[in-house]
Amino acid sequence: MKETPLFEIHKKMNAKFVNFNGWNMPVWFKDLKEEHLHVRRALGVFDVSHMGELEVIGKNAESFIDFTFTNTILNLKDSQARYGFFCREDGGVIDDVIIYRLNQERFFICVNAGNIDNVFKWLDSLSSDFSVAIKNLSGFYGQLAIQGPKAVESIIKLFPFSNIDKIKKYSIQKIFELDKQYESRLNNRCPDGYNFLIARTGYTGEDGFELFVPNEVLKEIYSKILDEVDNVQPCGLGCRDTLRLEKGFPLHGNELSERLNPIEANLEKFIDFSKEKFIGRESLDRIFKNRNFTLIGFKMEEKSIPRAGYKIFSKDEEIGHVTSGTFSPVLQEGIGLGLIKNNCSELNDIQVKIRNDKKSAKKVRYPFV
Amino acid sequence: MSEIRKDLKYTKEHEWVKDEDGQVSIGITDHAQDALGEIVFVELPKVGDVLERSSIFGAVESTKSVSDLYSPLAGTVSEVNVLVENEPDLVNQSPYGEGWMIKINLSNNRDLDTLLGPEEYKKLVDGE
Repeated sequence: MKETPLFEIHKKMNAKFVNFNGWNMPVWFKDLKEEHLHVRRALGVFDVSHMGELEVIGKNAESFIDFTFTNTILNLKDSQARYGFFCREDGGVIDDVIIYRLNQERFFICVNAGNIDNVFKWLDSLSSDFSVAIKNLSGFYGQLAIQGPKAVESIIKLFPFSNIDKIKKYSIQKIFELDKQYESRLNNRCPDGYNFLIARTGYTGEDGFELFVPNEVLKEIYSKILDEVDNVQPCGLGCRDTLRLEKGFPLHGNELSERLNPIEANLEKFIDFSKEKFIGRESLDRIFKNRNFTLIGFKMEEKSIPRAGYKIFSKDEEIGHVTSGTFSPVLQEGIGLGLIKNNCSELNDIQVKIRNDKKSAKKVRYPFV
Repeated sequence: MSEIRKDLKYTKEHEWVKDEDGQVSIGITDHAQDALGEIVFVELPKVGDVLERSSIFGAVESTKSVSDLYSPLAGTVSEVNVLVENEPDLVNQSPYGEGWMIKINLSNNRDLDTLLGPEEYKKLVDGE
């Protein structure tokens, strides 16, 4: 199994580990719920170095992204970012990603750990008509997510010369102090000095940042955060999942996959149908006009916990299945997302089959918190 | 290190069994509760339910995951610990005490001999 450079530090902090897409990652340190609530109330730091980073560089970078990505990017200014999908011709989702425009000829893409190779190969296979190079920088960058309402005030103290409070949501910039500090020390570096990046993005629904820093110095930076930031909680992937689910964010592999499309997952706002051409457009347009499934949020009415894969019923008819479910640490009840037949979307009387029993659930809007 | 009590028998599914003259109590081990994390839900059978050996008799769930409970022995459920259904974290706090799950009357007392002893169970845990 692969390990991030922080494996030994996590081990010393008594983390429990889990195999996530071939990576041996901390699932929690002491207690999932405590970590979850700490992120909602204060600040948590996550090692998300398993995530991948790709770059599209070259004269046609902008038109290439426009052609391959479902969302608008032509109106992005340097440093701005956008969420959307790389879809196959049939509308299936190869990955959901955030694309950051570093400049007109350079776009930085954060991809899911399990999809790095697929996305890279797919982009590369499409690039021959464009003057672009696709680079996989996943081995170069480690990634830390610092998330919670205290993120800005804490990170300002950590990097006082990087104008942290001026970084707008969904934008990225260099971390100037680290650039300077490690200027002469890095063995490997990224062209044009994009070695240390900070983006105001995340996957918890809280304010916060994602730091992209070279793996070779990740340990030092992680230790600096743990030592110097007040009241920061190291967090595992367990609460990363419960935090995203409470906010109704999709997870590739659950709500999205190559067999599932973004329309039926109710994510059409990240598809720009005003673009004349992008891969998957025809299929997505067809699905948009005539969808078979829709994603719903629900809460369990009796004490029980829905899990991915459980079947959803209305009366005695099976109408769909749970895509993600958990016991919400904030609400203290079972919550879930599920894909159900679109013609059943008005039904209110639904049940989730948990082991041998059908338990009543109530459809609710998400985010759940 | 998780605690393994000398006076109990164990299963590969990380359950413990305490024999009290043909009536046995069953719970999950300290190692199991530690691996699961904070337990938020416990589902147990009813008194009078007849359990086959290795059949699923309930489930314990943490926020992250669900684990089925397998009956280590054949028998009839004689008592259910309703306390853990209401306060699931008792299983974390006291897996061998207040966090017990069910008691059963054995169909066949000799089945007990097929369970793991403390030393064997320790080897199993260490090997994981």
